[in-house]
Amino acid sequence: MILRLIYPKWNKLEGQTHFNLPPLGPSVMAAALPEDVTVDFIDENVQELNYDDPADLVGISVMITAQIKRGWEIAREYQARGKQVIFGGVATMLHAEETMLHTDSVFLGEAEGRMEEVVEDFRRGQLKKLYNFMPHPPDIGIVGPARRDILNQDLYYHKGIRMVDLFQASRGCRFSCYPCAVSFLGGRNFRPRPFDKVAEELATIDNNRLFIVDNSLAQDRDWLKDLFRMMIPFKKNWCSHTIDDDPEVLDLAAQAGAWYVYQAVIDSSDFIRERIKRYHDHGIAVEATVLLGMDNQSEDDILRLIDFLLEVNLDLAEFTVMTPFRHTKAWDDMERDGRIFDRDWDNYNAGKVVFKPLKMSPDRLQELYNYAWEQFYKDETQEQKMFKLIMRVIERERQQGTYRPPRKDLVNTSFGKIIGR
Amino acid sequence: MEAKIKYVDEIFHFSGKWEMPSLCGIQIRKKDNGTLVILTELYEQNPGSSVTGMIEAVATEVVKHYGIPPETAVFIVHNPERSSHHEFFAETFYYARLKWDGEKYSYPEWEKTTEASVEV
Repeated sequence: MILRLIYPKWNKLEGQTHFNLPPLGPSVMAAALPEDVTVDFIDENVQELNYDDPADLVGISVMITAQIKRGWEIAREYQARGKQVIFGGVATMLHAEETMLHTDSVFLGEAEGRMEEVVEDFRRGQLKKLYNFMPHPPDIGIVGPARRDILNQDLYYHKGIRMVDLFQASRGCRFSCYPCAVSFLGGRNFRPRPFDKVAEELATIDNNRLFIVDNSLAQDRDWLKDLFRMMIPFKKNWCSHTIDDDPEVLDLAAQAGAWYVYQAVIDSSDFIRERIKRYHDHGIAVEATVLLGMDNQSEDDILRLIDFLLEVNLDLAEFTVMTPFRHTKAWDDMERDGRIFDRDWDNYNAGKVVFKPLKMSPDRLQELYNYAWEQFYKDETQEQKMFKLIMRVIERERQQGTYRPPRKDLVNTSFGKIIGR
Repeated sequence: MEAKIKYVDEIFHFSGKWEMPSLCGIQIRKKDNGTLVILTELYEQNPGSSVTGMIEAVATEVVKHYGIPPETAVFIVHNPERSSHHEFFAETFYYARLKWDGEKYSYPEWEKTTEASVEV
């Protein structure tokens, strides 16, 4: 049986450096499939999709909301060719009812221990319209290494430099942040993977550079310290979301290969300034993730925030506009107040204003978003700053003896496409 | 940042989106002209769906569970203050105006109100 598994493309944000990371969700799902299922994976962001390639069942894996409509289009094409289609992934869970109108089957929840049933149903011609496992997440202990072998890894290189591989040491999140749907998706319970499983997976990843995509590395201090101690011998270098702001944790994180963190910067407080400094003191670079258009922000607040970001010696910054994704408190609040004016999911890419901000017009917020990008990168482009980060990790890898030079055969390509040097 | 609980006599368990086990705070006050039901969002303490996103279903479960006459029930959703300086975690009160069709509530309309309305 051939499962054609597709990761739909989405429109990248205008004006930003475009890059593609090897997706984790499809690899995790593939690992949960019975062994006799052959996975034929296509990442539409870096590959052409041919609807006439052989396939028994079509799976569409969607992570972000801006992929969902393209997923529906793909499903229509396959259904017109007589193929059955099943959707899964984060954005499927956020848009399940709508997606059920566009597909034969919808899978909600985590895949481990569930895919045998789905495949068996399909083989018997009894694929169900809905597989709802959201109330019953699997035992985290059965989550095995993701099947990164389904990916064409050569497509995730830019000028010979390999992108980071995504990796997960825990699921769930005990926090309940305003714009985030993670608690709905992964449950509010923090579920760390057993260390032997984490180690097993790390050993399978033939890449020195990782992105630990855990929702937060600030959920359980003791677990975190043990995780970092366990990771030290692997000599990986990695980026992650926020790390617990504790000197011992940061010290262990640095030893375990913390390269840079995505740190939410929501105001120009001394708390944020000091936090950035503490990361830097431990040799950890900081990419600020800056959300613009929160209800507490005025135009002046945003302008002050941009000035602040330029002052505090950040390594990178990424700006997004507040976006009320489904199943978040932001959605609840704005829907209740009638402030959402755009329900075209293609526009839910965190670069377009889809709601009425409280303290400015939507157009003004859009202007400030564009201004933030321009101002932050006016003296040094995003690509130049990224290059500096790469040089830092190269220096560290040379000291560790793990450095691998750029692939010469891919030095004239970017994500599978030929480019000039 | 735990929610500060003011209007909670007990925890109400309800079936959230996709049957996710969910909960909220509840306080029921008998009035001369009906029943006031205050539902409190519990943020991190709630493992499932928000009350706000599920108000029709939650309100229907509440009147059936407690035997409240649905036609005269008034619902207020309370978002407790979370000791945050961010406005989006400020305390709010909203009336949820719902239509009862004999079996269930539907068509929610929201109206912002004040804490004083709870005490009326």
